[in-house]
Amino acid sequence: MSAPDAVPDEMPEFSLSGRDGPELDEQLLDAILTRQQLSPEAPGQAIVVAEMLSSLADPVYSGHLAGEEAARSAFARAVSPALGRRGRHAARRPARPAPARRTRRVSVRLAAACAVAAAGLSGTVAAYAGALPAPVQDLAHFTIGAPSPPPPGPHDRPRPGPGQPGGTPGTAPASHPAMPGKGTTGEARGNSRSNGAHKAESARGRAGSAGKGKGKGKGHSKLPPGAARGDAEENAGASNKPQATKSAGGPGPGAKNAHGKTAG
Amino acid sequence: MRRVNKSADTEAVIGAEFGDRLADAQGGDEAAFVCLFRDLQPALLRYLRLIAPDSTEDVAGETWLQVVASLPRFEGGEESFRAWVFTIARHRAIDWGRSQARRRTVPLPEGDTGLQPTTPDAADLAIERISAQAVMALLTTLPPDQAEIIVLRVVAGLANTDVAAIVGKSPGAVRVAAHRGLRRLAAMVDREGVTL
Repeated sequence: MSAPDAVPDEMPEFSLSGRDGPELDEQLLDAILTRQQLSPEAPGQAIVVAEMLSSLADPVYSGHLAGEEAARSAFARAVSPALGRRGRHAARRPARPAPARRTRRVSVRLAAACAVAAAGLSGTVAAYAGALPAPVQDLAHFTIGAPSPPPPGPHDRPRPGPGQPGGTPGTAPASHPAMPGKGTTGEARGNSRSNGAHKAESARGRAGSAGKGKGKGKGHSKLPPGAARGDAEENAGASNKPQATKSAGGPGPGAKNAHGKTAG
Repeated sequence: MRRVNKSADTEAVIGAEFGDRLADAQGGDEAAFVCLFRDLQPALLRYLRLIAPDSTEDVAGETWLQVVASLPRFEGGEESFRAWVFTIARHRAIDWGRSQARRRTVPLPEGDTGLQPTTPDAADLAIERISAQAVMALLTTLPPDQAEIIVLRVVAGLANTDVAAIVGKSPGAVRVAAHRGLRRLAAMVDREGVTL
């Protein structure tokens, strides 16, 4: 059955009169529910029901206020801690002392500054002790006058690069496809170190004066200009692999000059 | 016993002052809270007598405890406040019924206590008007959902949508149930020959 109820015409001999009470207008029922004054023409039962329900809604005796003392005491107990959480009352109070927050911020900044200073100091000490990695030691050597990195031993000799004897001809390092000059510079430094520390020192000394021009060279931007330049100068004394450096691609103008000097 | 007739502080509806009263009560003003309490407690007790006749006072006390605890966070107007309080009362009545059902091991003898308002104070029972008792008795003969909806609409003065939210029905279903209940009441009045 699709409909909840059958319409009266479908079952004429079945009486529905007493099921939901007398037929009262829905507007009249809504008026009873909202406690509106009914018109005198309304059915008597409706008026009686409306009056009964209205009387039920009116407080008439003190028993309806039973529990007031308990509610009062509960309110008094609950309201004091609740006041502390109320933003409205918290706004009336003096604001939370700001120095505490400020002190926290200052202490955080101080700790960060101390950490940075400690790192810088330890780095400086390590630089003067010659304990830094070679590129960093190079940088420290040219910036703060720390000792130059020690010459690498025979086991430090790098693998042959692209275009070098024993390397893959004409290919850049796979890990730096966009920086072809990096591998070239590394090769130059490795070769120069194998020729002796005194040559490296003299080469760096010369390269330091021309470092600015070197820094503009393509492919050498990842390393200190002076260091790469010095390595290139060292290659002049080493007299090896100028073709390999060229084939690796992208050396800066200073390096070209150095290799050219080597070739000459 | 103090007899309180309908007076200014027991009016059913606070009206335009409700916002200030509520704000004061939320700020800790006990007098403002008492005003809210007196406005709602009579209707609340009558509603609870219908849905929790055996524990009306206890459930009302728990209802106000929760109202007090949550009052600082309440936001809304008078109608929302009334709907909120009656929602709490209904939940507390349900919880109370569940807890009593768990505790009860020996069934209590059934009388017509469901038809009579039960309060511990016999004086209150004596004071209560016969008409109110008769109305409550009539209401308890209705199907429970119809009686509850009528009390929430008429006694608590809640809107149809608020009642629908409280009882978990659609506003249309609430309206239909209320109309059916009223028609049944009218039929009973007609049968019993009750006149004003």
